[in-house]
Amino acid sequence: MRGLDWLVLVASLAFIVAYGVWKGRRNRDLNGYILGDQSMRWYTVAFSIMATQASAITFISTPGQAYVDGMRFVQFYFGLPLAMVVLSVTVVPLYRRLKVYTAYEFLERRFDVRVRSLAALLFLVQRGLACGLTIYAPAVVLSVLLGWNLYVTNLVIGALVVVYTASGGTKAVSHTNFWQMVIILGGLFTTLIIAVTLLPQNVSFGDAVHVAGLMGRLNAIDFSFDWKNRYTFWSGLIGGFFLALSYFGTDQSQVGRYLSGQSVAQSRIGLLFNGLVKVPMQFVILFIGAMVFVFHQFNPTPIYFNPVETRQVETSVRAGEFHALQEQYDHLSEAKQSEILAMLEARRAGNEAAAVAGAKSVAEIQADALRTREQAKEIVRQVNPRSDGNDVNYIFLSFVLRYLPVGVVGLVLAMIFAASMSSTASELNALASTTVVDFYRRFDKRERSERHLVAVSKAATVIWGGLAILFAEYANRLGSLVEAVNILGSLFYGTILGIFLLAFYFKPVRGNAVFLGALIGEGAVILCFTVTKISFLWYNVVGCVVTIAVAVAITVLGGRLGRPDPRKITSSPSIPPPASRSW
Amino acid sequence: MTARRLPQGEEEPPPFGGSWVILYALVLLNLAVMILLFYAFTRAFS
Repeated sequence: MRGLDWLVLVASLAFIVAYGVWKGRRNRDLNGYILGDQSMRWYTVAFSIMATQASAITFISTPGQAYVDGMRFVQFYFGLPLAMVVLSVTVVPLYRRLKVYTAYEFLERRFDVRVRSLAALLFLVQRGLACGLTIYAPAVVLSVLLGWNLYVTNLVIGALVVVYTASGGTKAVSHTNFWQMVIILGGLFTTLIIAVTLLPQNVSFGDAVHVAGLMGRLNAIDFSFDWKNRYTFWSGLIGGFFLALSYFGTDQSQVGRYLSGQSVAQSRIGLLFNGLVKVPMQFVILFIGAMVFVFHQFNPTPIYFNPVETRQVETSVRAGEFHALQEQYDHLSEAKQSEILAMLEARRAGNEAAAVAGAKSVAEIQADALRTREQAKEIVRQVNPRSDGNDVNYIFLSFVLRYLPVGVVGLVLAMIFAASMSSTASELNALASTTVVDFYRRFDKRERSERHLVAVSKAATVIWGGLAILFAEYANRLGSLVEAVNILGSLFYGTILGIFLLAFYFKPVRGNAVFLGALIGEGAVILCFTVTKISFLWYNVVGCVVTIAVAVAITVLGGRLGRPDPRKITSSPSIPPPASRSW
Repeated sequence: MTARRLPQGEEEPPPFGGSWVILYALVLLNLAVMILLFYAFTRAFS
């Protein structure tokens, strides 16, 4: 990091924090603090939705994913545009008509306070833990690559977010999300252009694409149906649809973004814009990874990208073995480079037979190089049993720090910080909103002024921020638990979506049946997680389908559980009764 | 700034694009085109 990089990074962060504080300076009531006075135009809503979904790890990890596994990860997002359309048609007008602050308020109107509180509590637990990881994940990568202190990095990211999120609420979050997304897109396209220009003089862009394809890095579509294959067209379209429906329709960190729209139309356009650009955006991020891969075919490449774990091996008794593998890897890389250049030359000369023979030779050397790399990763795992031997998160930033020009490094780091801060801010805002609206205001029987509620919301933001930073500080001691928390979303989203779909589309179903259905649905997901090898995207389908099926079965069978609960609370202090019910 | 209040039951038109149906169709069509392009991309280069 040079002076100009620091200048770009610090100026970007200072601008974001100052802009957030300034935009959110006038919050007189809860409507202003939680819904931003419903004053956002569609482009602010759209960028806010996108910035909330795209965490730092998306930009750190996704290019690395393409580097090691190709572009098939793009299929993960195929269900998202469908979900955006469904939510625009159904959920957006409903939430707006009911004038809710949070998605969970709707559940009390439809069922009872138990179902509302259960869903809100599941959200607080899941999102509260995830928020800590949103801070920790980029901090650990930055600290390893730049030698920064992990605890200070966690603290800086968390504290900067808390400052403007607590002071300005949703207005600060949405407006800063917009500019954070601008920084992110600027960083992305700059990186793509520079990655292509860094290729050797005798390798054109067309050659680079040809090499990436030849070496299996442009495998964007896989139509095979395999339950255990994480990224196929079908798992992305069906599992991704359920995941997106649940995330955007029931997770307050996203619901809060489009509820802040000026009108139903502005909120809808915000969601639809996300449906239009999300898939191509992910394609671009993955394509950057594929180009970084091609770049490394012509430049020195470490056999393992995590420098801290590499140093651990180099100071262990396995150092000699590891160095031998690195040397072997270097020889293979040199041989591969010669074969690639010869193959490209044959292709340009129109010598098809030589080009095909060259491609075969490249593939054989690549297979040898992969085997060598796997052996090195195995040594890393054996030297450090806490390591999973996965260096995907370090590939892209290693490239950025070693090869990008001064100033652009600062821009990419600002992009990583912006992505982390945008997701964290939306999460903190949603955690505070749910805490205040679904618990504090719901169960506190005293008459409270708007000013008091805004003060409590600010305090809740600070407390959740403090907890997230604290969790981030301890996350590196959790070992494999971190991985478990990472898939926490898919463990709960299906069940929560089932509850909401029952509320939207199954008129006769009552609170008791939903409550039991949700418990059994959650049990089914945990069973899938513990005893099967089904890919985690399918958990969303399983949780949702089982919850709905059980609740409907109970209702149809007409048992006591399917009948209305005579103690059901039908009014909430936070929701004025609607003029007419649509369900 | 608040949106124009519409009579109950009347749907607010989109700020551009003509009608909501056209916009929904555009999003779905965009997805279909993307998938076809990615398929062609995969077939052409892999």
